[in-house]
Amino acid sequence: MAAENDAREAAKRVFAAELNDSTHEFKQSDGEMAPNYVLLRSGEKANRVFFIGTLTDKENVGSDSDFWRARVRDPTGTFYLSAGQYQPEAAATLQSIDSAPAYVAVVGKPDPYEGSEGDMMMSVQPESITVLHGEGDDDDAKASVEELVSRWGEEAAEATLERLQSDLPEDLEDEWEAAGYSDPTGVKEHLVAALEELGADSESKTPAEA
Amino acid sequence: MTDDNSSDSLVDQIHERVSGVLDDVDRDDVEAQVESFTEYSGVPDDEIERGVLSNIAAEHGIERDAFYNGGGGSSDGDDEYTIAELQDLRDELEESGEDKWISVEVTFDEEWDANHDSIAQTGLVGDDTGRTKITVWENSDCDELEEGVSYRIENATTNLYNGDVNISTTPNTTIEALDDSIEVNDDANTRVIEGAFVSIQSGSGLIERCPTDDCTRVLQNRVCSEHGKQSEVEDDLRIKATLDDGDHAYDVLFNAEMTEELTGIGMDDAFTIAEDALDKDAVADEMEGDLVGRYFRVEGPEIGNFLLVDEFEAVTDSPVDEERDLMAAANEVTF
Repeated sequence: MAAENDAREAAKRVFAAELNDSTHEFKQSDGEMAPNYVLLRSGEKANRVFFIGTLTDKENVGSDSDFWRARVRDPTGTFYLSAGQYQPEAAATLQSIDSAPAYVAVVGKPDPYEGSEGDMMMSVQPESITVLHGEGDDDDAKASVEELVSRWGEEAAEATLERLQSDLPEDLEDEWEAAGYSDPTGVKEHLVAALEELGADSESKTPAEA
Repeated sequence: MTDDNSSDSLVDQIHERVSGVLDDVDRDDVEAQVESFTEYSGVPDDEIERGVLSNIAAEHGIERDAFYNGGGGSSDGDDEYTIAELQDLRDELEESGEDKWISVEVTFDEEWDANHDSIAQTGLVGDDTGRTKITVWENSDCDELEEGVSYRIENATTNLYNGDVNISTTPNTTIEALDDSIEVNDDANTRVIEGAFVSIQSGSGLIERCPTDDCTRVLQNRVCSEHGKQSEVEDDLRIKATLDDGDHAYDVLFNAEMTEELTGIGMDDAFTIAEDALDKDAVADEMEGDLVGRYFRVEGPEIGNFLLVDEFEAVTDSPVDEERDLMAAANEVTF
């Protein structure tokens, strides 16, 4: 009896560059409804992700029914979202946004697929897309949302670092073999780049109280 | 043989039970499952329920027991016994999942607004093992409880409903103020959780409760899993949300008062929103837009499967310890 919901997968904080490279998919139990995971290059499994970034583009590419593609940018790269008939709420949100750019918070499922040239691509199926509006007048509102965006960036950086520093969980050893991933040098490089960008962002704002 | 009406309410009943534990099984899923059973003649409802729950549990990789939270009360006065402490009560109920007739000595620790005509008072009672919820029904005709005063409560029932431990009074309940003061340990099951809201669960916003005496179940499409379709409802406001810190998803619950504090939307505003949109769901939608993606720290007792939020604050400070130099650590990573 506790507040933890063990039936629901936690929403991992992952940067776009890492997620897009983490296309090895697997399940840990049988059954149609057993959760699908991707193996993150930093050495953990993810069924659900959470990120805050800038929506830079959106387009309804569907013909008979709505099918939205959208791009959300973080300090390391771009998340590619796909929202169709099975993601009606997210699709409705994309429809309702007048135009990019906009700061958004996304909760969704990593969905790797084979691209036209046989290479593996990563799409995110959004469970929710929330446009982040600030409170108060324009400048204050903008600042408060930007704070939120950089807070996520720091959170993702810390989570990524912890995954890199930790040993691979035992239950993922077989999948790591099967994935054939090389050492996560790329993840480390993107992490350092993200930290640089986050550091630069915070310098350009009023320094926070110590 | 089940006719359409009882089949519908069976589906609702099962769906309500499942929704208390899983948030991605919708009514259609449950209906499809029930229908696959009803194709086999002669399977009684309780067997169908057991079978459906078993399938759903297996599909989600969880224990079927997660769905079983005890049903209606059994009132045999001979079963009355005294629970030494609230923790014993929780342990007993977790094991047996049954309602019991109990007597407890507790302090009435915190009063909440009673948003339901049949409820005289509600809130938290506690002893040194922690706190739990109490509901004093109008028809129990009990004297009013005062915050901070200790009482001996006899012949009350308890149930685990939706994972919630709830002490309920009955017309047989007697409440006697005690001279001694029972100290309440409000840290015992209090927790602080920090994370981002990743979902606002169904059953949030402007909700409808069953108006039947002694029932406050939340209605799904105006249907009470116990009392069937209702034409009258009791309105209430709440938020059931998932707070996620990247390692775990937590279920947190804001009652009407806390919901208003969190969102700035009280019952009156909620009605205005619902009327403008001609849809009560518009309230939850608006709340969702303001909350999802935001970081909060919440605090409160863990009652059943939820943290009942007493206190909260928006988190804006950096998630990283000031002392920590992420950049240096990142550069030092080796494989």
